[in-house]
Amino acid sequence: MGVAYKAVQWNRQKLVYDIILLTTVVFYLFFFEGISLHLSSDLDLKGIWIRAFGSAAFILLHIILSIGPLSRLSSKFLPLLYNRRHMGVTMFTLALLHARDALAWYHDFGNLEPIVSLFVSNTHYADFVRFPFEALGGMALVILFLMAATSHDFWLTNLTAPVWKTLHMGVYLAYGLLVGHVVLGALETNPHPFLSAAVGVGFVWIVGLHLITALREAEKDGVPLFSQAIKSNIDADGFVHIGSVTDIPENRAKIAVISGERVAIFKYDGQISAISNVCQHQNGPLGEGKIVDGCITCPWHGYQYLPDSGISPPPFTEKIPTFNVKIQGDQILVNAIPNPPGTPVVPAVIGQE
Amino acid sequence: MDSLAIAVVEWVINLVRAYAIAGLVFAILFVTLFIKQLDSGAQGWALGFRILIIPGVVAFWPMFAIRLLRGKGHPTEKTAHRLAAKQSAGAQ
Repeated sequence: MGVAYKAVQWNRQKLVYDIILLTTVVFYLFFFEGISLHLSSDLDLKGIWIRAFGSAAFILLHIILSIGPLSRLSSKFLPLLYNRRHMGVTMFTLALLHARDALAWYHDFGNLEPIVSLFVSNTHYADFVRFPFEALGGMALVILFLMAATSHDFWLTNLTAPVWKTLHMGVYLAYGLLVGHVVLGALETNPHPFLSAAVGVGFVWIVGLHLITALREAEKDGVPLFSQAIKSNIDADGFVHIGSVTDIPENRAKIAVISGERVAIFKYDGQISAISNVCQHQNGPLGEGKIVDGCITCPWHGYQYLPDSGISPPPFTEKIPTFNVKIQGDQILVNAIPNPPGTPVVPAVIGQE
Repeated sequence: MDSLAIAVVEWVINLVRAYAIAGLVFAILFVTLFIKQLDSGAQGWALGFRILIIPGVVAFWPMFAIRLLRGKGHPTEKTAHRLAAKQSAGAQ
């Protein structure tokens, strides 16, 4: 970063995103209340809202987990990715409200503190069917808290993007815990076939979508999961053959795996430059972005880098590794060893050897 | 109810509370006095930003305390290319 942090860097897109998100959530909550009272008028309102908050959080978690792989499969979903963090914080808030109300409803009586009662009222930890589903929800809530609490860009800088991403991969553990929480909790007390089918379809959707995306990404990297890896074509000078300049559209990139990571090879203004594909902000895929106003622009959040140096334009201070490039005929060759972040590299001029 | 389970759970919850209280005291001091020492992005007095990061600082306060004691700023990320570039520069 090179500019001062703000609570939220508001812009029109984020405002529209948040308005749609919050309106949909509020509509769902009241729709859930209305439907529940319509189906059974003797239900307690507090109990309905516990379920409304919990189901809203669980549905939102499915949407959040779908956005990443869907964006990998089609760029049409990128606008959803842009402000996913606000969706995550909203989901955590709903889960927290569910937990708060459930604690008050089921555990705020007797001599024990509600939080102690939550963990000791059912101690059948060795029994699958009677396993204390509340503990699963509690553990998931802790993970979701850590994610929501570290959602600001300050945390990307201070944890670094790879560590931040690893921490936020905890969402998959949280999802697993919540599936257990729902199956052993809500589905046991209310074994309606529709609810069981909905949870099952959601689980299959999440797992299937991630598997399809992983297979496609592995194919793109030349390391298919179920066949032999494609070997890099490195010449005696340590340069990797990438392909023809005609393979790359103007102001776009071709992506190749070099030195254990993806490299983005951009064509612009009759030149070729190569930089690490990894955006320093959230490690977004720079090679899937394009050159805007002379800068490589990350498709995730718009962070920019100069193609010949990997440096963000002032006042920003991000730097990413660059690669030496040369052209033989119409063939692009990229050095297998990256330069330190921000190292200026003379672009290879197309048609001039 | 299992009295041993109650004792264990109460002990763990009290431990978490002590960690969180220490973290909250540290976080308030950190966001008001020390944050600029670790991150140059924390310019000015953006109150909303400082309040927003408090829950995270409460969770990760030992990391910031160690950085302050060692006089170190925020780290740079380690990716395959950054490590390869560093290794290559070191070998030359």
